[in-house]
Amino acid sequence: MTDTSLSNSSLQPETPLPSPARWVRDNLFSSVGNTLQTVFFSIVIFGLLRWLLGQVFSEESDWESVATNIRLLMTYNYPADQFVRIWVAAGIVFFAVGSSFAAWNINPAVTVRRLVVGFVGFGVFLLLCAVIAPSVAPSSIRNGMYIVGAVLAVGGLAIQRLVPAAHLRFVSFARLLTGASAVIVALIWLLPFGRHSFSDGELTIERGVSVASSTKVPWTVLFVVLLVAFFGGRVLASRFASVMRRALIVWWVIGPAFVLFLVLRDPAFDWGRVWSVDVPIAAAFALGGGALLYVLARPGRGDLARAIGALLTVFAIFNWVAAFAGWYPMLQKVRISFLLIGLITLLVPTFAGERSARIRLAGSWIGLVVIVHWLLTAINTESTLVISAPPFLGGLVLTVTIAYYVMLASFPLGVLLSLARTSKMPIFRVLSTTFIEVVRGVPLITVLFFFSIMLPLFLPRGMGISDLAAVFIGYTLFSAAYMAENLRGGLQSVRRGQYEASDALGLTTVQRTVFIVLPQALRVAIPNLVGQAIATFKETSLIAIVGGFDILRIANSTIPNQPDFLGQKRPALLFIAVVYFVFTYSMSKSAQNLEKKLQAGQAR
Amino acid sequence: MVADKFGDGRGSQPFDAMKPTLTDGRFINYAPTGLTMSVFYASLFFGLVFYTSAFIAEVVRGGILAVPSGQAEAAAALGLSRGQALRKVILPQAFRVIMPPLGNQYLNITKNTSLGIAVGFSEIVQVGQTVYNKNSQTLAVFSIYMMFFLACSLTISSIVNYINRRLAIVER
Repeated sequence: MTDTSLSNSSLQPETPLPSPARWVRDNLFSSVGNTLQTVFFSIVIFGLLRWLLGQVFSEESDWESVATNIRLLMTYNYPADQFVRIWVAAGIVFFAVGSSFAAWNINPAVTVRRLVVGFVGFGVFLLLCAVIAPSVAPSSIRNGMYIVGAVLAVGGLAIQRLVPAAHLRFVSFARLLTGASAVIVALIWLLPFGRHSFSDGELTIERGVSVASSTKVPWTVLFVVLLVAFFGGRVLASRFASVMRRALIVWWVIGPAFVLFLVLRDPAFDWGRVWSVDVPIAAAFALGGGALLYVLARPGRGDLARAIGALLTVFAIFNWVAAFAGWYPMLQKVRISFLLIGLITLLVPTFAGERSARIRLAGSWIGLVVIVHWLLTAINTESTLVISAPPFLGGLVLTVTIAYYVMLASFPLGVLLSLARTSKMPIFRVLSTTFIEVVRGVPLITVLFFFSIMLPLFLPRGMGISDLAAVFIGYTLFSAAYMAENLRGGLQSVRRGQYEASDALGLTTVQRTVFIVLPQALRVAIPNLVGQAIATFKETSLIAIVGGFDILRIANSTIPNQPDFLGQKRPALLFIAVVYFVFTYSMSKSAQNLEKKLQAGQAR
Repeated sequence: MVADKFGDGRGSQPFDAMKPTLTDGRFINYAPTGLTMSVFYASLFFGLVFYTSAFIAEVVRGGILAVPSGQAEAAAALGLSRGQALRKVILPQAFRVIMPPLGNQYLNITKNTSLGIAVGFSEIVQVGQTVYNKNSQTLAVFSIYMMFFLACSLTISSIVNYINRRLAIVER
C-alpha cells in the first residue's frame, strides 16, 4: 500500500520513529516536575473521559432518539417521497469534490509513519475507552472496542515493522481516498446499527441488522461517484487541467445555486409564461448587451464606454428607486439586468482588446445573462414540494448551505469594502470604515435579529422576503465586514513598488487593482480567510435563535419534544457536537496544509 | 446540595454571595447560603470562559512563537533560568504581538455575552427582545443595543490602544 515516489516534503528528512517506551520516557517522565504534570493531567483527562463515556452509555441517554431522527437532523422535513432529490444533490456535490481533487492534483504528503501513528493512536484510545468505561456500558460495545482497538494498534505496529523506512514512504492520495471510501462503505454495510423508522406516529425498531438499504445503497453510490469522478478527472486533468480548473471554479460559484433551486426546490415552471416572457427578455438582454459590449470594447472607445455605462447605471439605479417608491412597474429581472449591463459597461475599458478578447467578453456576458435569468426565474417560481412546515431547508443541509452562501456572497462585498477603506477618496473611506466598525462592534445575534425583524418593515408594499433570506442578507453583511478587515491586511502587504510599476506601465486604476494588487493581496490573506470560513460555519448555529431549523435547533428543541423521546437532549447534542467537529477540524486541517503550501511558494 | 447551589436562577440573582445565617445557634451549612449561581449564568459564564480561553491560548502561542529564538538562546547564554527567561525576556516582547489580537478577544467576549439568549439568561439582548415583543418599539430597542455594544467596544479598544502605545518600541 505504499508509493515510493518522493514528493517535495521529502526535502526535510524525518527522523525514524523512536520506540514507544523511549518516547514516553523522553516526553512524559523526563524530570520530577514533568512526571507530576503528567500524572496530574492524566488523572484529569481520564476523569473527563470517564465522565463523557458515562454520559454516552448512561441509562438516561436514549441513542435511539438520534438513530430514528437522523433524517430530521440532516434534512429537517424534506418530503420522504422526494428524497431522491437530496441524493442527487449530494451526488452532484460528491462528483464536483472528486473532480476538484483531481483537477488541482491534491496530494498531501502522508507518510506511512504518520498513518501508523494515527492507527496506533486511535487503537490505544479505543482500548483506553474500553478499560475505563463505566460499568453501564453494554458488554458487546466494550468487547467491540477491545477488539477493534487491539486490531488497529497491532496492525499499525505490524505495518511499521514490515515496511522499511516508513518515515520516507508516501501513501498516494488516490490510495488514501480509495481506502477511506472502502472502509466507510464497508462500515455502513456491516455494522449492526439497526433499522429505525418513524411512520404514522408509530416507532418501529429492528435491532441487530445493518441500516436500511434506502440508506446504504445511496451512500455506496455516492462514494463510487466520488472515486469515479476522481480517477476519471485524473485522466482528463493530465491533458486539460487548466480548462477543467476553470470549469470547476465556475461550477463552485454557481453550481450550488442550481443544486439548491433546481434540484432541491424543484420550481413548478409555467412553460407558457417562460416561453412568452422569460426567454424573450433573456434573449434581448443577452444579444443586445453582447452586441453593445462587443462594439464598446474596441480599443480607443474607453470614454464612450464609460459615458454609456454611467448612463445605464444611473438609469438602472433610478429603476430601483422607482420600484421602491412604486412609480411604475418593472420586472425584477429587468431591473437586475439593467444594473448588471450598466456596471459591466463601466468596466469594459479594462477588458478592451483584440477581436478574440471582445468575443470572449460578449460570450461571458451571454453566459451570465442565461445563468442569472434562469436562477431568477427558478427562485421566483413556486416550488412543487409539499412540505408540512414552511422552510424547505433545514438540518445539516441548512447549516452547510447558509455557511457556503455567506462565504461566497460576502467575498466580493468584503473585497469592495476593503478597497474602499484603503482608497484615497474620503467619501468611500469614511463610509466603509464606519460600516465596518459599526458592524464589527455589535454582536452577530443583534445583526440577525435586526435583519429578521426590521428588514421586512423597510421593504416596499408587495415585496416579501423569507425569514431565511433576511437572515442570510444580515449574515452576509456581517461576514463581509470581517472579511474586509482580513483583506485589508493583505492589501497593506502589497508593496508600493507594485503600484508604481503598474502606473509606469500605464494601467488604469481598475486594471491595476484587478490584475496586480488583488492577486497578491489575496494570496497573503488566504489563511485568515479560511479561519473566517470556519468561524462562519460555527456561527450558523445562531440561525436557530432567529427561527431557522438548523441542526442545533432540531437537536436542542425538536427531538426532546417528540412523544417517544421526551427530554432526550444529551445524545443528539453529543452527536451534533461530533458533526460540527468533523466539519471544522477538516477545514482547519486543510487551512494548515494551504498555509504550508503558500509558505513553500514564498521560501527563498 | 449542588443543585441547590445552582438554584433555578429565576428568583434570585445570577451570582450571589449570601451571608450564612445563624439559626438555632448554628450555621445552616447548605444552600441557598454562601456562593450561589443560577444555572443560566453558570452555563454562560463557564461556556464563555472555556471558549475564549482556547482562542487566547492560540493568540499567546502565536505571540511567543513570534519572538525570535535567538532571544531565548541569548537569555540562556546569560545564565537565566527558563522561568526567568520567559518572564524577563520572552513575554515582554511577545506581549507586543499578543496585545492587538488579545484586545480583539476581549471585544469578542463582550459581544458573545449576547449569546446568553441561547441558554435562557436574561442579558440585554433578551430583555430587549421581551420589550419589543410587548410594545413593538423595535427601532428604539435596536438603537439601544447598538449604542450599548458600540460603547463597550470603543471603551475596550481605547484601553487596548493605550496599552499598545505603552508597549510599543520607541523609534527614533
